[in-house]
Amino acid sequence: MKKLAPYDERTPLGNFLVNCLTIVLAVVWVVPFLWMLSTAMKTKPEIFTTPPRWLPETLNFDNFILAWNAAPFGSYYFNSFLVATVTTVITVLIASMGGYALARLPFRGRNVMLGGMLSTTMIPFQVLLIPFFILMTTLRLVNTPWGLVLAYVGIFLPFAVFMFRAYFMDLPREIEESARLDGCSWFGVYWRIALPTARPAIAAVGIYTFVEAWNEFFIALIMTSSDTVRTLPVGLVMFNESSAGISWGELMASSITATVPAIIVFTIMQRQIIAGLTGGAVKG
Amino acid sequence: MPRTAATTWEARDDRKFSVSALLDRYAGLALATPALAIMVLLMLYPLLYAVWLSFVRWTPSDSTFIGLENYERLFQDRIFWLGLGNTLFYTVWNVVLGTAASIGIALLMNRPTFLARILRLMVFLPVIVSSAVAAMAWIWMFDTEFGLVNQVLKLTGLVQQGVPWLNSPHVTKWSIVIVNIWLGTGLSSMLILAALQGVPQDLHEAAVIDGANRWHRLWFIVLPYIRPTLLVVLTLKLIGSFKTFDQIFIMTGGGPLYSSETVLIYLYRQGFEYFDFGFAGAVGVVFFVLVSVLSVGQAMLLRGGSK
Repeated sequence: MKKLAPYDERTPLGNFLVNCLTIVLAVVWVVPFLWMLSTAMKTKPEIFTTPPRWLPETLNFDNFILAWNAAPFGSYYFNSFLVATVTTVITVLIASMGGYALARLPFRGRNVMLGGMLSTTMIPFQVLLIPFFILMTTLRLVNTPWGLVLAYVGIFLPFAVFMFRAYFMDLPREIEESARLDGCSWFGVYWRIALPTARPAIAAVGIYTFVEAWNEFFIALIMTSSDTVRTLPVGLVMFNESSAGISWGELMASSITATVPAIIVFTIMQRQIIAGLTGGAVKG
Repeated sequence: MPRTAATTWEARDDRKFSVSALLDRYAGLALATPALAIMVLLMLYPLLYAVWLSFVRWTPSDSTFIGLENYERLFQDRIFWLGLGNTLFYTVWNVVLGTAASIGIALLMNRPTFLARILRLMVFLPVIVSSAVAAMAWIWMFDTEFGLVNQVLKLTGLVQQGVPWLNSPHVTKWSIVIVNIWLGTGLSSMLILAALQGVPQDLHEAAVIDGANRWHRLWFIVLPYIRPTLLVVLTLKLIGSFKTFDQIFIMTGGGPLYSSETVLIYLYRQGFEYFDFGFAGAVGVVFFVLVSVLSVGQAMLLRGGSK
């Protein structure tokens, strides 16, 4: 860890106060999650006690099992996984192709495409919801995972293309040039040279897309109408509406279950996620 | 002519008439086509469709053109104006309080201590969970009788009766502001932290030699130095809060008595509860115009900021 510059040193009292403030804020931010965890482990009488009991008496996982059986969470889980995975694969593939073409290959209409892409990042997807819905109805894709995938690819693509374009533009051209000299086709250059070198960009875009698709609520809400297709966020809200105020323990347990994959991916790939999210925020 | 890297790079390959040569000649277009097609099908077409929708009375088989009727109805609807007012309310408070909180927290994060790293992690946590999960956590936190917030308030004796955080037309708006700040600070404080770490040490040292204290340095050196990032954060929050839907919809559904209604909840209700697609299309177009105005404002502000 870097050391503090001498002029940034505080008096012991100042240091103490700053540390206290840091702790208080960290606690304030994490308390909703801790309370969620604690509630999920409690029995029903424990949940409804005044004054509140901070920790459950015994660690009991009944709520997790009850919730899992009370609503089709297995199906929600599967759908979320399917939709997020397929969305990520398609987005990374198409965006890397498009990004490579925009970064390296001169073709007619490139500037138009660049401008078009840039302006689509300005369109709030909420405006497109109703046309989307009508379009998907026409294509018979409403209430299918594929309709959801299509919608997600559409909204995540512009940002992903720009991430790849930026990455490819920063790469030195020499390797690709020599491959061209050796008679490699452009597709070959893209597939065999550019894409393997772009692994960091693939990781950043892929993780970002996966987490966003996993968490997305609004589009999933309007595009799904049956439990066999619903994803976790929507399933969770439906479960809340059907059981409001009765089974907090089960609700909190299922919320935690829904978060686990995102937390795992985040712990492993912290750096890429922050890079993706902050980059996405600035560019998208 | 000798084949150099440059000519191979720019010019098309040998003029062979084979499929592979043809494909190679149009490789750029071919590689870009899928992305282009998706943009046209899923962005451009729906956008134009939304504009068309806003001028018709929509039915599945034959929609009739009704001119500006949808817009007239929209601008006469009290609930719409209420929603717009609330959207602005959330936006203003999220921009003001959220940015201030982000700066303060980023300053605390920017210390080489273990606690500072814990703080980074905790504040970033809400960013990676689904807004649905976050809303669940807060519905339970804000429960009038057994929610943690009221339990703690009662324990400390600050209130006798539980505050109806999500059930009162007066309080609910502020509860939503709290949740928005809780959700949004992770990203913006990370952006500010990155900028803070880019402030050159010699600027600090020079200021110290000139006798500047901590607050002088913050005000006259650090904040001006990270101004471009602050502008980015401000405008991100501006547009981001305008588009907020999930947590408000899940926590209150716009209620009680439309007190937390937003433009997007209004749009959702018209479209997917009343299935009045033409009218909802008009709401969408108005929303689009408002966001575009904000975006253009953002672009101008950023251009001015980077000078």
